[in-house]
Amino acid sequence: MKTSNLPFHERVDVAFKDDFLQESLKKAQEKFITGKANTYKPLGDPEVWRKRAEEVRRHTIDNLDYYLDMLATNIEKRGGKVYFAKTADEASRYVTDLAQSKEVKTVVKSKSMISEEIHLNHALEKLGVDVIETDLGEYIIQLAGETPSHIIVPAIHKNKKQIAELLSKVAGRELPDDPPGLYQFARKVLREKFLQADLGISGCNFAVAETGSLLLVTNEGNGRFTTTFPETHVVMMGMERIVPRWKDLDTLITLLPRAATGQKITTYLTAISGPRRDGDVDGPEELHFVIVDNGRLNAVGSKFQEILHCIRCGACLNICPVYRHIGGHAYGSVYSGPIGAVLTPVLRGFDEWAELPYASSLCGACTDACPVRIPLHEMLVDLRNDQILEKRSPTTERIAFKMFGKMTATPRFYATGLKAGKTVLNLFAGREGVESGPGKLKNWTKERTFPSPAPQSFRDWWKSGKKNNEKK
Amino acid sequence: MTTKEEFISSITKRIGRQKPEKVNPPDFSDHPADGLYDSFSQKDFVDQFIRELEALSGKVIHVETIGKLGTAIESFLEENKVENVVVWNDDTESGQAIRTACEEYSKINDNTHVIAWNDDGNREELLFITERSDAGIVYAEYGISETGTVVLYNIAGKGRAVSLLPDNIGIVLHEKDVVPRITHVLERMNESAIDHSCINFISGPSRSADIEMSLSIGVHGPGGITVFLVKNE
Repeated sequence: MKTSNLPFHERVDVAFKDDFLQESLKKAQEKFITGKANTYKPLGDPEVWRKRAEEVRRHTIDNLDYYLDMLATNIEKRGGKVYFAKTADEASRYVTDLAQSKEVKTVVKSKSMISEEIHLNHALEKLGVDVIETDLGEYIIQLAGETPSHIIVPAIHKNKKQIAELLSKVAGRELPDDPPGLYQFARKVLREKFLQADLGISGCNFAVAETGSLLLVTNEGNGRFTTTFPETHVVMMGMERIVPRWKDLDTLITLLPRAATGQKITTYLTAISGPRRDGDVDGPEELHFVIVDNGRLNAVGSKFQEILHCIRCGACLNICPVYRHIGGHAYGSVYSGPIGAVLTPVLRGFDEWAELPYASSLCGACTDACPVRIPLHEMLVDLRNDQILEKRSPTTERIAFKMFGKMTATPRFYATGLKAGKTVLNLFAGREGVESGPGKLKNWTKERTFPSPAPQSFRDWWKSGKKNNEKK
Repeated sequence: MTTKEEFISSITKRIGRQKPEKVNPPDFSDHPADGLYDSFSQKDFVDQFIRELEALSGKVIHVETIGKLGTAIESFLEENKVENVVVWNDDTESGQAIRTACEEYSKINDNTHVIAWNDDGNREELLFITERSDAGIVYAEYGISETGTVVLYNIAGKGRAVSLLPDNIGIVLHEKDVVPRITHVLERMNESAIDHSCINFISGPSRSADIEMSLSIGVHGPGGITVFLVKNE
């Protein structure tokens, strides 16, 4: 789950200083937001779609036990195998054992957030297995030894020069930094791997309970390669990635690509039902589903249950003003943006993730953007509240808020407090405002000037107006 | 190791009720897409299909009847300078028409070879040949108007790799099989998923935007998609 050992504020500083990142986040957000608006438009009223999608997700997660049982039964009916893994260790051990028993040498992976979550690549590499990410963005960050900084565009923080350098190392010669040539080179390298690989690992956009099927949503086609050529296919699936029936996918699959990248549909939707059948020539001989909990149970039955409704579109990242400024890596978790700020502490607790619920301005844009209407910003408030109740906030902060509470409850204290605040601030204020503030204010003034107090306070102005009126 | 029973009962416990014997998924009397296409005729749906596919840089070649497919396939093979073309081994009318058209073409063009995906062939060999082919020609069960999508059912002689490995893919689609939106295909997926290990919805050529968000076509999969659109007979 963890992607960095730096403390939160240092991670944020790294992002602030990265000019390319700042520019490309802005560009990406603009592109995705416009695309989303353009592809929602022909659907009519988006609220009707969002409400229906929410209802489908709610019904499914409310009956998750029932549908998981149905899914497992039907996967087996189609000839697949099912393994339930409570922990990250259990999940990756199942895959490494399988790789060992089959003497696997090369693994091709199409995108799977859950395997990022459980660090599956490391576990396989330890065995000496060659693991290749085949989503181009994932491949790039794998070469760089990094983690995704956006759920849909994992290598958004890399420029073409950096990408050319990474691919040049693979090529053993210098490649020019023009994207078409780089795409061509990647295609050639990855195609060889696809045809060599003995194990394919995919994620799971949706599992369909009624037929025990998998639906993969991809643009490049790497999902198709991963599931067509290797003799064994392993599906890594978070336990909530499920729909009851094919027809229940209708609204979800209509909204997912529109909310994600502003496409009406992705190039490929691949529906897989069991391993290859008698007479099939391609497709894997064996199909395994690894259904993973890894902390999701914490959300079930709690006030955070709706976070399991998420369909991983990234619309909340694309709209978030905080994400726009700090990028994905600053969150320090494989899940970034508003969804990451909620999901990570829900799955993992506050010990290492106390800052994430505060990485938000609570503007609520994420909640409005979410195609399945998860109340993300309300959950962020709830998570902050939980931290206070668990007495996790610093003592000074707690005392400060206690005093603030008392002060604002009494008009006389409030007036005195305001006056005192103004006097103190004026000590630090220059002509433009406060450029280097004292104590906690420094965190603000480090980035921007804090406005000086108005020469006349609202209360004084009000009083003087009243006097003038009385005179009249 | 966690067993299925333990895993599922831990969820039941957290939900805080007994696991139900039977759950009925909600069936709604209305659909969010209701009314969107009220004024559309089948011709409008076909036109929209063409617009959407072309917007994704797919191509459309019109064919009067399935009997005239040969001319369309000939121009496709010529335009793409195809030397090796892989086709499905399938005895439906469309499957036969594709194969015949390709074989006729290769008879008069010595440089063009036709490979039929063989349901009892050697896997390694077939994949090797298909990877080295410049074109693959298949047929679609459905076209989806709203998104310019074709739906391919893969099984036995209708191999998955034929629409994936070659650079250029030709897809035969009958105008009568163009449906308004994905809803109509999903309604039948319960049965078709049981009958087919793999079903692909394809909308235009393979694409990626992972390098500085600059769009590239044909990253892993085919770079060209041509639909042979057969008029209603």
